[in-house]
Amino acid sequence: MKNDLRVLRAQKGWSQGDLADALGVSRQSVNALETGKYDPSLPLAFRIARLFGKRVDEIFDDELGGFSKAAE
Amino acid sequence: MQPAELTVENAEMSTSLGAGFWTGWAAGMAATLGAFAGAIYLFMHSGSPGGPMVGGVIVVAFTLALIAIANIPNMIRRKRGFGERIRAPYRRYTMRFLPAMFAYVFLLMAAVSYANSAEPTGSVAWAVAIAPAIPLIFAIRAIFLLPREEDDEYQRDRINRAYAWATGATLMVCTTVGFLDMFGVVPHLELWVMFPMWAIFMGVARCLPLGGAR
Repeated sequence: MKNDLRVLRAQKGWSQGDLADALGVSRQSVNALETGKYDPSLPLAFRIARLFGKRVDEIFDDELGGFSKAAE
Repeated sequence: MQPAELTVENAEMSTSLGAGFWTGWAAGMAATLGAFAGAIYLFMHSGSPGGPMVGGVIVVAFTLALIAIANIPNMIRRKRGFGERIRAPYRRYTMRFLPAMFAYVFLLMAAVSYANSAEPTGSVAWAVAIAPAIPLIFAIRAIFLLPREEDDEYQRDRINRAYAWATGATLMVCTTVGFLDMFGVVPHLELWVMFPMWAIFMGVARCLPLGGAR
């Protein structure tokens, strides 16, 4: 699943470690999420969305009508 | 690429320890492993001076040295403010697994040495034979408590995938070798090799990109 996590994190000026601390996960988890190696569980996806003040489908794109459609 | 992203990426690049460090670290690891193998070889080919307990001390000392060397990169990163803290589930796992494995080494050496010299029979033989297996049961318990206690879902996913992969690989090898053994075309494989085989497969699996994304 594609996501905008890297861009959103960079906009906040956070390192992967900062984001990991804010989410209560390991830095490797953030790296795996950003590189698309790991899809988060629904609770983690909601935590991420809440942290950036966005909806889950604005950050994660299942390529079947995710954030690209929501941005319309 | 956005300027903010460049800044963040550059900050992460500075955590790199450099090729010189890694060359030295790899040389240190290789030298310690070589010394470990050499010490065991000398110990076994010189009539095991000092008895099996000395052998146990050699194994435990070199294992601790290897763990210390393996932790040097993260220790340096931590001192520079970038390193990852050893997370609580891994700390608990280490505190359960290592003592169990050290107890296993000592009990195995003591059991083999006693069985060779005293040639016990009956219930004593049973007790001697089962002694090395008991700490291994605790080591296996530590292994399977790790994913249960891991609170980071990505790490838990990686551990579970590695365990599943290692279990599948071990079953495939043991089933195949079992039938080859039954038809007498390969030497007999002792059942106790399953755990070390699983552990080796698990180590390999942790290095594989087993993936968690669909």
